[in-house]
Amino acid sequence: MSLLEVDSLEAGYDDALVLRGVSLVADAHEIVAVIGPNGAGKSTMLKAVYGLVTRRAGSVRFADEDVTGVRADHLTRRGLNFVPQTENVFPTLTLAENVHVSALVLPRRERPAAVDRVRALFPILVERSRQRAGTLSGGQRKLVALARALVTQPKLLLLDEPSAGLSPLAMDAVFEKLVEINALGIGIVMVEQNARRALALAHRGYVLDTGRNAIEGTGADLLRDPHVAELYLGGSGITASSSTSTSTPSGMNPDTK
Amino acid sequence: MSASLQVHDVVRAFDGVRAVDGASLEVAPGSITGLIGPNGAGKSTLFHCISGFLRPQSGRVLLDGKRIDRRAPHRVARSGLVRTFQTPRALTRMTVLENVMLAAPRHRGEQLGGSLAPRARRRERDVRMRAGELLELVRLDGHADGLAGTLSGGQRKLLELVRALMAEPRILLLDEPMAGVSPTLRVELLEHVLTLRDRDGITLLIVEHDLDFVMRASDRVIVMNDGRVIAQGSPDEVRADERVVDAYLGAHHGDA
Repeated sequence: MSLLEVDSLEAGYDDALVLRGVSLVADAHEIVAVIGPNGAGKSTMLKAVYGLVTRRAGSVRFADEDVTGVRADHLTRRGLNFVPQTENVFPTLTLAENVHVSALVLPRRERPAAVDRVRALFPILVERSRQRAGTLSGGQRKLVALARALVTQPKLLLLDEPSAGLSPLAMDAVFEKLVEINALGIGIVMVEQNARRALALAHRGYVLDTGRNAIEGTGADLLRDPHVAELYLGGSGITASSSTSTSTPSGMNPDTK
Repeated sequence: MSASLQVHDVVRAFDGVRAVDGASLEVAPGSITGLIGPNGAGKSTLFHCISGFLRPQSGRVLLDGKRIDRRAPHRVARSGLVRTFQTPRALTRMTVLENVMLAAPRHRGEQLGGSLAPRARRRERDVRMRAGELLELVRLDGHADGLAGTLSGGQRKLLELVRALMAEPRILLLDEPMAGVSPTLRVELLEHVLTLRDRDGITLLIVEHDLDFVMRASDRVIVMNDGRVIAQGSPDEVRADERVVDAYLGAHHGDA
């Protein structure tokens, strides 16, 4: 039994069916990367799992319970949380307030300890606790968004493109933080367009295409697969030559930790 | 026909914080210039100042030697300078094709109920054809008749690019065109961008964090930090610049 089990999930918007039967599993010790072309249904999959998009068919199990159709806020209380790609902090609230608002899902007596734990993990929360989140740079915002998700004491995090719009340095900081979070025993399922980078970091990966599962395997196997490289990683084009500029810094691969 | 752009000492502050703090740069006609820098360096604010969406508090912006920093955005666009946004703005309840067709520049007489005139019909046919071609280029042709609201985040990004091209720019400012775009499509878009320069003579200024794209596409790279230009030069010169490695690339990215 895996922590998260998604089986033949179908979902969409209005009259457009985007997800046409996607299955996926993830465990607490894992980083799982989900990659694929634009419009493949990657973000929709995350939103459907987290109850933000109406499911048409299929099921979601989390921590040995059927959570199909369970509301997002209830999922958060059960240990499954989601970080959207944008609009993931309250810009007019301070960093301290941002984290406090998230902690409200916890029982009152557990809140102080939970907040202390994320403050230890994210120094920015201490250094800039009274600064408004809207004045942060893109990379800093992403870290605060992660902190907001973590304070709810999740068993598993769903992340929609954590590296989008980030400079190389900021991207490194976010990916390093993901490895750190995972080392605490928190599972991560992330959708990424920086596919090589994500696969290098991930234990396992899924390729989605036109709303369906296309290929799956370990991150390393997918990176080596010439078929995957040709169809989904840009072949020998831009990203292939990027071993210098988008590769994982040494020591960041969770397998080697 | 290619346009040149000059930015002189532009300053723009928010609540006393100088997001752009005396930035100057030049973009040569018919060239591709990459603009890079850390998050919060002032790149997007500078884009707003250049395209008329924000008025600089001091400094000048010149398009082909003429000042445009006091012009409204639509007038800047009409002068041939068109920009895209980091977060795409699509009309979600219209079809993808309609979104693109609406971006075509207005020609005289079109508003005056002249749609029955043969010339207007011919014009609409041309616009429709051009829109179709551009959608094919970014592989959105299969979605032409779908509502723009059903496109994924990455696809909306591509729609934004097509809308900008539809406006027939002489100089195009792209704000993170690759963010959210799949690796496979990135390779294709690189080719298209080079074609815009080489075949259509369009001048391009591109903010982008995908360094492989920037280094391959750009004739010249400009680096911003803390609201100012801290370095510029050929892609190789910039990559080797220590200040750039420190402020932006990080140690392990510099030794390419």
